[in-house]
Amino acid sequence: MHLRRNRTRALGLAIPLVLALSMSACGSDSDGASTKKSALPAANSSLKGEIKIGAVLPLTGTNATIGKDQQRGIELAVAKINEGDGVLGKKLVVDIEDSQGTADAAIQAAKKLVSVGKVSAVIGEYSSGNSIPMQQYLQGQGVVGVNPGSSSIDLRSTGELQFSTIGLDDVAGKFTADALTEKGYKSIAILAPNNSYGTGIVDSVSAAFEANGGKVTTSGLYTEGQSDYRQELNRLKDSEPDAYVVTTYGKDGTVINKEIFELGLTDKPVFDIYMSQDVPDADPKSVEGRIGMDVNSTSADGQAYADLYEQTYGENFISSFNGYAYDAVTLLAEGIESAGSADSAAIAAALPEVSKTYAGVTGPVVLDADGQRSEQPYVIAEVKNGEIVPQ
Amino acid sequence: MVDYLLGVGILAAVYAINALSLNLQVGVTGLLNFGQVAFVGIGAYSVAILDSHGVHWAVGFAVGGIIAGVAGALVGRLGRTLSSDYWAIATLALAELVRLVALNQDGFTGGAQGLSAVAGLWTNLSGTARDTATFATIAALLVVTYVVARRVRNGQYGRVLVLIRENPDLAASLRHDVVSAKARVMALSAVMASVCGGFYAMYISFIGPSQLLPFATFLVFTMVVVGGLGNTTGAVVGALLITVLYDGTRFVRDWIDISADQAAGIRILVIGVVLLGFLLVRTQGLVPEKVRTAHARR
Amino acid sequence: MLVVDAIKKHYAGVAALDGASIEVEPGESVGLVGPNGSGKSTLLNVASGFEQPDEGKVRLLGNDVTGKEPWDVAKLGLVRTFQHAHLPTKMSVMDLMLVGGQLARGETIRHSLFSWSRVRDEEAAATDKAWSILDRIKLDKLASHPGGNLSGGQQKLLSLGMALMGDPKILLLDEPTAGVNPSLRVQLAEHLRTLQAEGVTVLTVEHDMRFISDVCDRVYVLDRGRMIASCAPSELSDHPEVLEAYLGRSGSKAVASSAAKKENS
Repeated sequence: MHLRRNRTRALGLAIPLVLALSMSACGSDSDGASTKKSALPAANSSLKGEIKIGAVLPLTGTNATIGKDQQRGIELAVAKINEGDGVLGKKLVVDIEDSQGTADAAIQAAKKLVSVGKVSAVIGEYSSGNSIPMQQYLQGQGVVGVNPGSSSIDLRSTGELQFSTIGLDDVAGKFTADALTEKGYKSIAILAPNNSYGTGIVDSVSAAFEANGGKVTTSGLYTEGQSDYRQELNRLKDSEPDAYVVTTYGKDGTVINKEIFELGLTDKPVFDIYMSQDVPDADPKSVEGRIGMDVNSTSADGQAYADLYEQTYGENFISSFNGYAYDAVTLLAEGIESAGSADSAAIAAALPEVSKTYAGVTGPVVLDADGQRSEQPYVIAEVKNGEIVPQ
Repeated sequence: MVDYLLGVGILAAVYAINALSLNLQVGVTGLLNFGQVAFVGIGAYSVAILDSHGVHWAVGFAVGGIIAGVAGALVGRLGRTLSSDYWAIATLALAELVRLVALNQDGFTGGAQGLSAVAGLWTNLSGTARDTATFATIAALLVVTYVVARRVRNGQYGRVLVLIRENPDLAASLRHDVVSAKARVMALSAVMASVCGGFYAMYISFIGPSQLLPFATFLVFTMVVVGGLGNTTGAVVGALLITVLYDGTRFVRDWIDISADQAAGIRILVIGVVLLGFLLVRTQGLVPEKVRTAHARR
Repeated sequence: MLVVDAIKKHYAGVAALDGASIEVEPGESVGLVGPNGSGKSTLLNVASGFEQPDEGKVRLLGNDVTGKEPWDVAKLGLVRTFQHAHLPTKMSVMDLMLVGGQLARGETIRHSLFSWSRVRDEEAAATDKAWSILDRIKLDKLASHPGGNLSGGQQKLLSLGMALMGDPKILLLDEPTAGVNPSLRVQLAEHLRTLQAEGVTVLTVEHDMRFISDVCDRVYVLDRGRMIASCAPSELSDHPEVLEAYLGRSGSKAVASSAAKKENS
């Protein structure tokens, strides 16, 4: 029975585990946002001085891919503004901090920006669980917050200085539900990732679709990072809806799209929410004929933006969230111009007016009474020959 | 800058309580609990869930403490049948189970969205005053936890625990109920961790399943190892150092011109390198466990 | 005092103990010998609760302790030592003595936190007792040394001292002289005889026959899981099969010479 504990041996267990977790925490994809295919345009040399705002993004952690994409949107916007007249004749600088994907680090990041960097506005974050506490903190500090990535309706009540450039769940859900109803589907089955983004989509689409008289036969929240999703997909298939509604991205998206095709779910219509997140990585055969919605990138500004993104980073959008971050920057810049100063209260007063005529790369960002995006002009598109083409 | 520093101070104190708890388990008793985050989560979710039903936070802390304590005792007794390596893996699995329950039981735990708008601390104050009061609160909690940990470590119970770590058969031959001693230290440590979790939920006003990932446990392990495994003061020192390093790497970009995501990656690299360095070069940590000299003769 | 009754224990089909029985009366000093593999350690483990027998019973002071946890058996007054002390390097000699003692309040969390002054009194009393035992076994100068840094022999002595902190009724010693130098062996034998005179019952498992004859009134001989003899140490030479088959030539010489010494004195 002589059990002798060998501490170093057990600690040896800890080393590879720590390393493995550190590696995984570094985000899934290869290059950083800083790797470019072509350089960003240089700033206008006549600009004197700086105006600094802040941003808190999930640069590490489980949503590092989204954070990277948001960073790209910000970089493109800053370059475009500084190539032109800057803001109030000065260079715009966006100081980006890592939220590490956790609420406490997001708040610490915001604290550094506000109490050390003295910024008057902070863009961020992605996950509602991080954006909400952060905006509550910013409100308490009298600093403007602009959310480019979270969609929880709780963001309506974070405060008068807090805004969103992305449509909240009620807006996105309604649009999708209306599109589905219009196409004549009476019942749907929904699949989304089991995180705050996915659960928000399921809740809002279900609520709006049922309000339209439709039925949700089943909804599935898949656990991210698995190698096989057949079980979830078969469950959706067995519920026999008129159409499937899917939203997914990253490596999971590739697996799911492949299996949707292999299991024969493509015999029925598949509606994809935010197609540009997963269609480009899929095997064209498996997504041919799929319909879905996406951020409006086909307006005059929108297409040019998509091209610019591709030229600069050498690939298509890796998520649908870069555009909202881009719009957050440009909207804030216009607000500062209109207010004539970078004071938070002045910006907050100016933003709703400015938004009325602001045409963003994600469409017109008209802010409603709660400072949230009142409508989100998505585009209905379909996949033809591997390309996303508007209907 | 003051607000930022207070923020770091609050986080450091929260982690110090967590580290004191883990040190009692791993450092003193040799119980490799890879599921520490579950105890913290039980405390956080108890306060958050009860608060969302309008129940006062004091009840939340009490309920969280009881659930965590019972869970700790049960897990401690589990060590009877499992050898130490397997027990460690079992604790990791149990913590994941807690996280998955939090993730999937939407109606109850808020699911993936978590629970937001948890009642805050010192809501009658604002700004720097509020941060200062919050810091004072957690600092007081830390002092209490430290005193408890020291009393336990320096008394007969602490001797029994160290002996269990080093030679459990010898402990058993000297009348010490090894199973009960382990269960009790697990229960006490779990309660400490649940208090720090409850406080954290109120400070951030939010709790979600993404905060229950195993990485959180390994961060505390790093603090305990770097600070000095088995040393009560070491646990606090390690927590302070790692918290400062972990958040302080934000300032790297003020000195070196690199992009935000590269700076973010550096943070994780720094922690990994520091932990590996200590494990290879100075396993006893910054404040090593001491052999106490004999009491003087009377 | 201690009755081990017809214990059977197998490991993977091999019988380590096959109906072994011993009885130790209060105040006796009994030895247990036998060749390697005879089952001595197993018997000791079963008697002290470290292993459970497949069949048979163990009775301590009339109580049936078969299958009880080792700490419960120890609480009834039976303390055993180990063949290899393996004392921790992170605990001082004094700490080890204290951990062997009965500090009931200090062992509970509640009292450690809330009855600090009474716990301190308890510690002071235990410390006094520890010093007096350390004096007796002459390890007092090493009180602050890490236990694991002591020599093998010193660790054996310290193990005895730790056992004594609990005022045991019966001591079970597992090869106490293994790895111990001759002068220390003599000291150990004296200590055991003194303890016996003070009323402590002793059961010693040993290979060293001279030690056994110095210390024990009676000896059991174990072979392949069974008792084959029980007699005074001097009488072992009257059992030639015991001598030759199980003790080897050096052992039989030792016994023969001590028997000769007795006859000459």
